[in-house]
Amino acid sequence: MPALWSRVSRLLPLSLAGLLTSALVLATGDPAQTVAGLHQGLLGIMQGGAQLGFAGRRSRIAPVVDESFDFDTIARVAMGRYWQQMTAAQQERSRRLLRQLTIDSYADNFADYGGETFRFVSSQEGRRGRKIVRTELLRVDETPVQLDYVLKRVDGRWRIINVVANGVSDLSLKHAEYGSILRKQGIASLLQQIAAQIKRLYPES
Amino acid sequence: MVYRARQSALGILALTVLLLNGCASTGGDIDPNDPYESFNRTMFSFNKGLDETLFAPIASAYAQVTPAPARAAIYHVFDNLAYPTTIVNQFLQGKIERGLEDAGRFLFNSTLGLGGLIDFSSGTGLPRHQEDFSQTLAVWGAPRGAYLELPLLGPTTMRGLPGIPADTVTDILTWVGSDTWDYVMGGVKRVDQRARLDSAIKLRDRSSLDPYIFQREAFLQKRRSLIYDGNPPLDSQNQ
Repeated sequence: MPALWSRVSRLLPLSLAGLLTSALVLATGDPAQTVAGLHQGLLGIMQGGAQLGFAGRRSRIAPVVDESFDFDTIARVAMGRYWQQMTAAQQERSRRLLRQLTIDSYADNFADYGGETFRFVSSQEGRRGRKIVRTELLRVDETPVQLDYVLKRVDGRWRIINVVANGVSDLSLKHAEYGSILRKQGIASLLQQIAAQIKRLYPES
Repeated sequence: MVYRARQSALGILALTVLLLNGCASTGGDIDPNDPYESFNRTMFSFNKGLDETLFAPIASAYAQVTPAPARAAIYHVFDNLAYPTTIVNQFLQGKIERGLEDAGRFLFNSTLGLGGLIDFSSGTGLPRHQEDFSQTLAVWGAPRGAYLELPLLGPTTMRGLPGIPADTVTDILTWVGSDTWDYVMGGVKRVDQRARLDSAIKLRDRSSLDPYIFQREAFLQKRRSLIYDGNPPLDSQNQ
């Protein structure tokens, strides 16, 4: 027993190191992989389309969104300097609302399939350690949509913090809209308006 | 025609300056990003109201009555007539190769494309570019200046103002035909443009919390993207 144990114990650090390394490789991945994963999920709900229904598409895309996005950063940037003034409960509510808005809008917008494909264009370094993945959504008989993603490394995984569609940044849009409402009407009012917006846009949610 | 176009553009500019001076700052609540916000919001409401009562119904009728291939042909004719604006500004920005490419595209569409009725761009490998005088000013280093929403003309910036008369001069539509013809064709062009913008306008009104801000931000970002020829730097300081 002791001899066997001593042999095993010598192997232990090696195998642990091996496990750790492969775990790191899997976790670190490539920002393009995160985007590819999202696109695969979107193709899935497009092809499932009408059969799935809004609720079905929603429940299918939710885990994909949870794996691909970083709503902590998104909420912080969208709320701007008012983030510091929010209570922990309000911050949590902002994260949840923005998550719901993202999931619902994907479930609503990617509801049927007409031969669309996603094409990877390039991957580049951004500022402050961000990565930018440029892609295109190719549609039949329509102009392609330029879809650029800004990603941040969070706990070893690349997560999306912004989607720029045809040059228009979703996060900047939200930051501007929310900033104006926060300045004039306050935090509670903004959160209420976002919740009402979700109900209005996606009554099935 | 040029004189008249310049006159109406100057008229709108003069009106704007008068109105801006009338809206003295109320202190306190000015967004440094949008110093003329209260003036802009008033103009936005005016334009939105006018659009809902007048332009939207006309554009909707146009879209219903005119089959899609006819609308596409109409759009391409106007787009081709205005293409010299892109060509001239490519050269002004020093983008010589693109300028020559675009000149080629214009000639191709005007001749084989029957004056622009047929758009060959997808087959010829001559992609469509979009340049105008305001982008040229940006490339030359002029700062953007404040955001403005003008009555009837819609969103622009301080830097965009000289572009209004300048782009009219490089549009062939300005130079051809009689005054009546000009008005009619100008009207058709505006109606077609409005019909094309319909889904964007519905998106703005349906999915935004503040349609004014949505339009302002979408406009400014779109302009920035055009200046960088579709590749604007994506990281902003607050990310």
